[in-house]
Amino acid sequence: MTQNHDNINTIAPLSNVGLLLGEVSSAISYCRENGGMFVAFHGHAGYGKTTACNYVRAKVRGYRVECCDHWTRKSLLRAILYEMSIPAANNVAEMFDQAVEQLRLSGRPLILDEADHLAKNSCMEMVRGLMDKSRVCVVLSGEELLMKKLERWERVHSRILKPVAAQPADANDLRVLAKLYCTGVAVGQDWLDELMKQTGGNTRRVVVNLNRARNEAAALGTISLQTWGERGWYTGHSPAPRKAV
Amino acid sequence: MARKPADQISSLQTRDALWAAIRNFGRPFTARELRIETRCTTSQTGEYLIGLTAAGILSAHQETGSGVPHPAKIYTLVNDCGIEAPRVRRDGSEVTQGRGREQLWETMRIFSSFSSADLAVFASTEEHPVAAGEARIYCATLAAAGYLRKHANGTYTLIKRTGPKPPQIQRTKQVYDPNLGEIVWKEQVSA
Repeated sequence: MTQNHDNINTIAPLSNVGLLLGEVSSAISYCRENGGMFVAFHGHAGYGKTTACNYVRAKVRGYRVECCDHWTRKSLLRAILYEMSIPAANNVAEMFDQAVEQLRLSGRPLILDEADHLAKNSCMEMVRGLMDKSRVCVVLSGEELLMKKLERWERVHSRILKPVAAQPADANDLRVLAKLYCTGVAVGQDWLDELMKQTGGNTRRVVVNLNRARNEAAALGTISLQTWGERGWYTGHSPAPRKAV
Repeated sequence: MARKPADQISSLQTRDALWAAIRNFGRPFTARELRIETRCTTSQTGEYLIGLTAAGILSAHQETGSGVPHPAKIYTLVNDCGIEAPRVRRDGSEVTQGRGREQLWETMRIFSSFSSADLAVFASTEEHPVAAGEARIYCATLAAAGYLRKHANGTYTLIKRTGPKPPQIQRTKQVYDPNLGEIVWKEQVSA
């Protein structure tokens, strides 16, 4: 069976995107009445967390910051103020007040991507302080172990309104992704089924394969298991170790 | 009078300046006081005050009983929404023009490497869809202005990060970067 594709031009139909947007939207209205809370978005690398965060950021006009491992409290605050286009003050206390004021007044949520890098004493308590004082919703997006890591800080853990688990792509997501990446190419359901089997629904790997399919489409016409033949799949597995001679 | 291009407006004559002044007052003020504080025209100041009042950000009331025949309206900031100047029309509704560019720029900053087609998809929301053609033009112009590097396979890499505000393509075929407050590129006219 082959499908012809309608023109979808947003990533909204993807399940992780819908999931995160739903949770963040309800968290925003909850925070408005009850004070700031965290939404923790966790999942394995390649599940499309960053992409989902970007979409949600555009929808709710949040401030999004991608955290780094080497950051101190000051670098985090500087990055947040940079996103707000506010010239940063000289010391941490003043920068903190600047960030709190802008968050509190604008009511725009703060989205911290790669938040596992903040899982250290210095940063985590400060992030909680930002959230408490500004009463906005703060989204922490990170790897699968994020929730486990946050348990160390009781005051943080107790303020997680909802843990949101990023899911691997399902059959419907694969169809949506195929429409986005292989626009105008007929992609067979059998090929998509095999793609699911080979990648385990890891969105990043799915996309690599879809990009290859798009490049091959000119030669193959339609993409199906039969035309794909022995072209192989990108599965992300490391090659087996070679034997020493 | 038509609005001047962004680079020709003094920073004291913008809505940002009006908004900063309103926040700095910290007390009720009149239109005249606001105008003196900035360098905006009477009509520009008036328009913005009407919009902000309609949006419920300012409240306006007329001083009566003082014996003055036409007392000035007194404005009070009731809903301070932060450093970013609210973009409002006369009727108080929000201006969302430019949101697509904002989304494109933000998406570029996240992904660093991308094709213009993928960029359009990732930057689109239902409210503010970004057409593939718009993404293509924005990428090509930013590449000419030295923000992006174009690769042989048609993808781009972001090589110049100046700040969170999207560089603007002006009608006069030049690129203005609001983060730097300057023109960063002009189309070369071949003689």
